[in-house]
Amino acid sequence: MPTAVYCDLSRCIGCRACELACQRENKTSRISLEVVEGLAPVPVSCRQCETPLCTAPCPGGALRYENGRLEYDAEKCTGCGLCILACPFGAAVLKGGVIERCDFCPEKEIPVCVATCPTAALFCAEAESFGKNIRHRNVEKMKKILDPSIAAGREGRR
Amino acid sequence: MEEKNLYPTICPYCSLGCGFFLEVKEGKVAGLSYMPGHPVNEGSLCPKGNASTEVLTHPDRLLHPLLKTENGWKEISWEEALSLAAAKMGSVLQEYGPDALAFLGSAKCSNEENYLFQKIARLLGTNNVDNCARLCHASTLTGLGKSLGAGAMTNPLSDLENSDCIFVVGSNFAENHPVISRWILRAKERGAFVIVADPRRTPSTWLSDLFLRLKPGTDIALLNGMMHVIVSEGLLDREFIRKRTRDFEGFERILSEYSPEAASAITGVPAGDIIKAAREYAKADAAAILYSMGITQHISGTDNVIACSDLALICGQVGKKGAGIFPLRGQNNVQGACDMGSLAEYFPGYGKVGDKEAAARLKKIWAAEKLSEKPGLTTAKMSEAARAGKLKALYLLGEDPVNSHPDSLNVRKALEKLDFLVVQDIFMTDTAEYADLILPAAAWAEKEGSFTSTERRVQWISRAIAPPGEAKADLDILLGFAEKLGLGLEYRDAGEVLAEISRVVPMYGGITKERLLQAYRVSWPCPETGHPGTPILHTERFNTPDGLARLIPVEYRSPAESPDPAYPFLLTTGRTGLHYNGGSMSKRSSFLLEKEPELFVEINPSDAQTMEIEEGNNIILETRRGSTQAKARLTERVSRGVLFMPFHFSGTNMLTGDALDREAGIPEFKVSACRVRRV
Amino acid sequence: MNERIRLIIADEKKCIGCRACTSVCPEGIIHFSEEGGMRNIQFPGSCTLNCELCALNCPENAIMFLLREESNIEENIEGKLGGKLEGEKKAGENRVLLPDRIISLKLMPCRKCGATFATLKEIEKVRKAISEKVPLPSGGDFWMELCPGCRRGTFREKEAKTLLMTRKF
Repeated sequence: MPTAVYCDLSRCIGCRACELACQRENKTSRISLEVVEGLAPVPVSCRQCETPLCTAPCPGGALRYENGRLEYDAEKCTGCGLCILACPFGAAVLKGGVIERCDFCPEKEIPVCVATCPTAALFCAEAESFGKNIRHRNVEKMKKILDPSIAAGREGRR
Repeated sequence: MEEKNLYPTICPYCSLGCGFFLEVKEGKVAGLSYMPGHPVNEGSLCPKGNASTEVLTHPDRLLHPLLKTENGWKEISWEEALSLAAAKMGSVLQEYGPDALAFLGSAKCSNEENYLFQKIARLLGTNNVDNCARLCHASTLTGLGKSLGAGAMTNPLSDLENSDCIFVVGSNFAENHPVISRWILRAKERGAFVIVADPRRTPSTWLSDLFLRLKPGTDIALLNGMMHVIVSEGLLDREFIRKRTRDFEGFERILSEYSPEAASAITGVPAGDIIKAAREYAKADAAAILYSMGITQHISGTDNVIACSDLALICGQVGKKGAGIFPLRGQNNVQGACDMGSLAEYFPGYGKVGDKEAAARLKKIWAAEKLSEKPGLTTAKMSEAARAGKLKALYLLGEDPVNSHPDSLNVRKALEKLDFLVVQDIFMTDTAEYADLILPAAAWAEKEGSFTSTERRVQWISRAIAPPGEAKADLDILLGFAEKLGLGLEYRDAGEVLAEISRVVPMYGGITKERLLQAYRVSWPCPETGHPGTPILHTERFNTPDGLARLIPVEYRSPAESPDPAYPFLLTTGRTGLHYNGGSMSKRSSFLLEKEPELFVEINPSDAQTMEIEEGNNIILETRRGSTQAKARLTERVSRGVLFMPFHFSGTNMLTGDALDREAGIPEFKVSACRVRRV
Repeated sequence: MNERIRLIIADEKKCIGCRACTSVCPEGIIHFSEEGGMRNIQFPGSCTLNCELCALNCPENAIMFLLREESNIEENIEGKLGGKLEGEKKAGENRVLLPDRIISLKLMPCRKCGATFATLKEIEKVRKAISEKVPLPSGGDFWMELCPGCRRGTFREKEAKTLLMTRKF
């Protein structure tokens, strides 16, 4: 399964370091953050879908699913922008005649957004494991709420 | 093709002291790499840090010394510039005496530069030297100074992960010290309980388990209310109080006036929440208090800080792992600037001006004949004295008082009135426009020196690239200036200055350039060579003469201004995540400016509706000091009756007043009575 | 003069208005404008560049070039376009000059914010391509009626809802 950048929203403080780091490394930021109603920050970037819809209308084969991931060849890109219209998340933009979408920073060890995130809210995971991680974390959260002895475990000295 | 070289550096913005690498190619900064090994940020970096390299290559950088003439700015040589500065300052000294001179230091400059700056001032015979800590944590110096004997963060930042309860009061750390969120979240993963007390709902409150939405300026009532609960429920640490503190009996009495209900009436926080907060804090094995401008920038700033300290002391939450008092300081080297005595009432190392012993020690090391015993003018007083014609000349280093000091109209009058103003900076700020002489300085990556972060960690920055044009390191400029004045200061480089600092400032006793380059960082006190440094303070004794902390009772007083029929709103000012202080650096980053382009005011939607103000309208705000325009942002972040404005854009400080804390001299930025209307 | 002037012929029936030609033309002589709910792509009648990039990049093969000197050019043009040509024949010269052509396509407004973001033909083409790849229930591609900004916004709102439920403050 492809690896993508995910965000643990409970840790996100909406600082936009991810946007700035991405913008510094590329022509434009491939991750976009907005704070919904001034309360909930949510970054959006390419989900690296296993069945990517964006490849469907691509006329020149610039956007392909190959080697277990989404590959983009700017040389073949016609700048038609049809892939942008296909993406359900609005995760790509057209800039300077090429598509700007998260390509997972192929020349770096870890994507810059993940490296720079002050709260380690952004992380890389395979979609499948992500599901497991989230389920695991939710279970832990629920356990704490349901089991008072865990919350009261911080007994005072007296 | 030349390889990219990585130069380790420390971020020039806030005082967390995060590390990263500058990528240098052919003598120019080509990019930025992260530093996973740094103990504070572990490779992460907030948006300002990410944008910091833009400052280095910006076309607005000052490149040549400039002289103000009738026909505008004229480029002159360094020789001319330094001679002129020395001649003018010298003649003021001759004609009016040393106290007609003042020196405003920079909390962004290195320890060595600050040390040199205040040394020059004091050798000329004046203690009129101050830095922007006066606007920010001066009340920490006085408050914690009185209470614990040392006005500094007691534990390292990463130690927060060991806390079981973190009580944040008057700090929006998620926007202003983002990387600290990392450590708070680590604590939360272990089950820590996070309390945030703030009049505004901020990204910091998003991380809280309990949000205490108090009215601006009512912090003492909240803290005393919590302490009342702790005492009446027997949650205090009697052992600690007995062994490590004094004056408990005298202190305890005042708490009887602050029942949770009484505190609730003043603060607007439900009594039940005050009780819950008190219990969580007191019962925790290790609890931390984090505070910042919400506590310090009040006329009761010193008392506010003391109240925080009292709370920590009666619960025994000082001097051990995960427990301590964390004043979050602002500038990358404000801690250092204060340690180096860039202050009107403190010598390097916090000996008080006027203290004969401290003066004698300094005189000996400096081989100075005499040193003035009179505490000098603080920044607000400098402005007053200039307007009164008593202060004639000012040497200003890396600061923009027009935008960052309160009461801008009066600051401008003060600068105009001066006979001679030298401004040494990297950009032409609004303040620099008033200068008679401008000296172009090097930015942080273009010079070397040591910088002390908020956790007392001293770090060395080595030069990565050359400064642009004719700009020079502040140290070199100051040495040149001193030479023209005939002060005989002979240092070859920053390392030699640090060597002297370690003889003068006891906490830096064992700190040398070599040590810092090897170990990469040391936390003071490091009193002698080979000492490992001191991450946690007050583990055995406090820094007072008898080693005991003082429990000092403080009473709630209302702020200098309260809303009234003429000015019915309460304006509070502060910062946003994307910009930094006066904005001379951050607004020059295209990335940051694009995302936060202009001055705005947060107004509660109900209030907006009553006044028929819609999102994005330009509105006029007025206080007793002046007026300004801003774009309205309707948001529930502020309560009804409260307005918030950032001071990164010119105009906010036209509104703020200079009501000062009596002891610390810090202005009450956090409360102004205000009125609004649509344009 | 030795310059070879190429006549550009854009087929209105095939064009979906994707603007690939406008962004790929090195001299920017193909323009587009949007007003009144329509996207108008303006083609010059001819061009002296040798690149044919517009034709190569057109996803619908809607652009073709003819050299001016070709004989029977009128029939060729008309034949290719399957209709009458509105060209000019300069008297005394055996040449044909084509006027600038504008192809106008209807734009689709975003269902949420109302801003126009794509032509109806573009949407149709993408919907078809997607359905061939991933069978969706009818109405299952609801996002196609939203502009990319509102797609992000909708995604965000869903995430925000969940987040705000779990958050205490």
